[in-house]
Amino acid sequence: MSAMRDRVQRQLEKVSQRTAVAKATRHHYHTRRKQWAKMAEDGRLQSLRDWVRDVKNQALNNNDQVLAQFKASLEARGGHVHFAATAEDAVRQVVEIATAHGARLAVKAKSMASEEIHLNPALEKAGIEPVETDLGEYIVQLAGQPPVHIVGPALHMTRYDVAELFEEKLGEPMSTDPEALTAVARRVLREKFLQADIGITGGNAGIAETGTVVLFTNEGNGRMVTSLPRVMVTVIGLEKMVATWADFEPILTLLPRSATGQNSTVYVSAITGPRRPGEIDGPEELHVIVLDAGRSKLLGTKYQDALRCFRCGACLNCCPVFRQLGGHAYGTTYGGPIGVTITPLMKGFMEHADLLDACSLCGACTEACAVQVPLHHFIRDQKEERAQSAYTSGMERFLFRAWSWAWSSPGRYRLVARLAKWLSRPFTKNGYLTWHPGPLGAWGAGREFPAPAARSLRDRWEELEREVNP
Amino acid sequence: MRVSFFSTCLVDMFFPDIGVSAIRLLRRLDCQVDFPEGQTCCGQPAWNSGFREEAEKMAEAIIRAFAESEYVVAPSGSCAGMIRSVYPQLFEGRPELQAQARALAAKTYELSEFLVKILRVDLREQGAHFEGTVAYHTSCHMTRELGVREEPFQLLDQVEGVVRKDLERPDLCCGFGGTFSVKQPELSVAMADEKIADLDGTGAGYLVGADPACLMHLRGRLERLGKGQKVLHLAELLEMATRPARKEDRP
Amino acid sequence: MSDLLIQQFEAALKDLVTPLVTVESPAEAVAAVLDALHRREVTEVVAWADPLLDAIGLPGAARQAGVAWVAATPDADPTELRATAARAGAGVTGADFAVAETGTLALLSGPGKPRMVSLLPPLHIAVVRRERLLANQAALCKELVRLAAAGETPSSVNLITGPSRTADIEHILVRKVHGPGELLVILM
Repeated sequence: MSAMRDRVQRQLEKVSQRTAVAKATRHHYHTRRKQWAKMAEDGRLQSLRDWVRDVKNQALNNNDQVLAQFKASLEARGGHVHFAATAEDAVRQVVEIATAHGARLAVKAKSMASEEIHLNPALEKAGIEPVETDLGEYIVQLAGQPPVHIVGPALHMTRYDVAELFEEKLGEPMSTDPEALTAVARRVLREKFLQADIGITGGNAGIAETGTVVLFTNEGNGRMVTSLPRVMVTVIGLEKMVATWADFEPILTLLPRSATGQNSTVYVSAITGPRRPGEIDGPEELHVIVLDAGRSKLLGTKYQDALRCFRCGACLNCCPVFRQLGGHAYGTTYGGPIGVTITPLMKGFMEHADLLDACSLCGACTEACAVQVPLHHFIRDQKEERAQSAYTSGMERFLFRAWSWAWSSPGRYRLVARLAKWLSRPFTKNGYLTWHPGPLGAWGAGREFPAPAARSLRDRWEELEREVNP
Repeated sequence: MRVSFFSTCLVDMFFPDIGVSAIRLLRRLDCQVDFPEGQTCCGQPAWNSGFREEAEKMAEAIIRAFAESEYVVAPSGSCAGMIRSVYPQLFEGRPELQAQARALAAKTYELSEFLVKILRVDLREQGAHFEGTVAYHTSCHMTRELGVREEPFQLLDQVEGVVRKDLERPDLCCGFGGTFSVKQPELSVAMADEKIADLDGTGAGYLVGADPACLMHLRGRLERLGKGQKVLHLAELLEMATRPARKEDRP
Repeated sequence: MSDLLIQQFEAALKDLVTPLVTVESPAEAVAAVLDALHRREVTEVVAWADPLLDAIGLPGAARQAGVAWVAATPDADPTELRATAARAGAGVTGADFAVAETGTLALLSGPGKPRMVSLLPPLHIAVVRRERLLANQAALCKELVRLAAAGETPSSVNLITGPSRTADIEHILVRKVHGPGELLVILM
């Protein structure tokens, strides 16, 4: 049994997590569809999706130039740009910047890229305290757990769980009212924002024209992290760049509407370099670390389109597998359809090829993807590569070859069908099998499997033909 | 109208009643139906597992079987989907086969799609009648690969006595997914359970669908759970609904 | 200025639990601000050092009403201003643009227009000139494109659409997280 299946089985036992994830994804699925229906009515949904696909494709096709332009633009405005070929490089760069400034406290806005490179443990090792400031991330950080879902990291915890956690970690009695709990987090984290030496963010988009990084947030922590600390560090995937502000427009319009269905997130913060002369807040020093960590492996390949992803989460919210598994069972930073698609490509094919089985190929993701990545087609395509690789056992290959040989001739097909019927006869009751050999064992654990019919349709055709074509 | 019936391997081997119902229904709607003997299996299990060559081998057999057909109709959204969306992508470097694959795709239909778009039926004219509360599951390949979404609902609405109790998430995958059903059985069953919970919520007595694979999976789970809802293929419901009252009137 | 546009703006803001007060004169604008401050018992305000706010006499009127008005003037001490902003009951700004379709305020950073004013206090009051009200996000993007082409993109562009919010606990919507919990827009 693969590690994936092991994780799946354990995750399926976590009923409260599953309920919470199902609730959250269902809600966002509906709010996105409502917003998309409105845009479709206004006749602009498809044109926006095509526009964002085109600007992203252009930036990906010219990725080197776009990154070079981003670097030049930001450095001209006093910012610093670093390229990190690997996750380790990125971590090293962030830690170097932080220690160079003698930072002791870092406040973090939500960043999947920083999760991906496992930044927090490295900061802690270097004597820097990283504090997650997105409420959900803060909660799971206090609890010592990884996030259960990218949009709602702590949705598996009830208000009672959160109150108990806050009481334990903050040492004061807590109400269980969500508003009161949020107010506590506001109070505690404000101190952190005001005292922090360094603010660390991700980026939903980068604009090469001016060296701008854009954050989409709702709570205000993104604004805090980019306004108050003296030093700001952004870790952003190289695929997030677009060339110009004009190219940014479809992202502004489509990202929030696809993520949660909002017309806009409460805050869209476009940061272009450190503070200017005469400004009294904003970072004095700004660093952007452009992260590769496997992304460039997709450039120029048939899978390049997957790099269009701007992490809206629409695919997670419609995926029937994700709603059962939440975030943990995938065992990787990115879960759901996008995670299954890019992880084997970016992070090692053989190591992560088992993820490809966490998909029923239903196609809901491809339908929902704001930037029109053919997600489930890419998953199936990778299964083709996997079938030819050492991952796939000789036995499986043989079985499919034998089956396709047998069933590509009507004579052999009839023979096999008759054989199956004959073999199953002693193991049939009420039209269902009583014995589930081989792969059917997995079926039979939870479901009845029908026995082959006594007379196939083919067997019945002769008399049926007489009936319908007299 | 001459229709070649593509039973699909599941219907041929496990659910021949669905095939019988579909053929009778087509006949009742004035189609001449034939059953090309060369038909086997569309090959989608191989395709979905990444075995392209194997899928092509089976596709060749299907192409041969239906070469002379005018219309090919299948009681399965996923099998019709395989022929329509995937066959044209096969046979790279073999232009003759590619052309044949495309020709077949151009004349292949799922059953409800054929009834609505080609035959343009109005079953009310047939006095269609079936007493029952029905929840319809919209299979993934049918809706997303073939783009057939409204047709089954339109047909159900043409049957007097059918009370639709729509699922909250009719479009949510039932969990079959081909080899997924045995490679990730726990997940597959969890997904079936979610579908069944939705079904319970509707209060419907019948779960109806147009893809035998989905129905096999859901019925298998319903049966194991000992639940009371009955599972019907759309063809079976429509055939029963349009059955003439007197034996003599049957074709 | 199209009444329709203002109506659209008002409706969008209403969906964001943000009242819109439309005024016809500087005096009315001042009265609306002071009224809001009074009702929330705000005694200390941090504000943009902004020509519009000065022109309508807002700082003076506030002080006369007993409200400590601390503007981000060039000679203001940054540390003290930050402490004030962290304490103040309200932050008052102008707005560089507003978007009727979505109820968005666009605030550009610059001397006299620090980010903390619209961020730290629990109440954010924005005084917006009608000429700055744009129809939709496309129109706003046109302005941002123009700024970039002219080399005038500021260090911070903040698009603010309603008060801060989260649903991270049991998926229950709570307003007032890290940013202001209350927003008030005065259109003049």
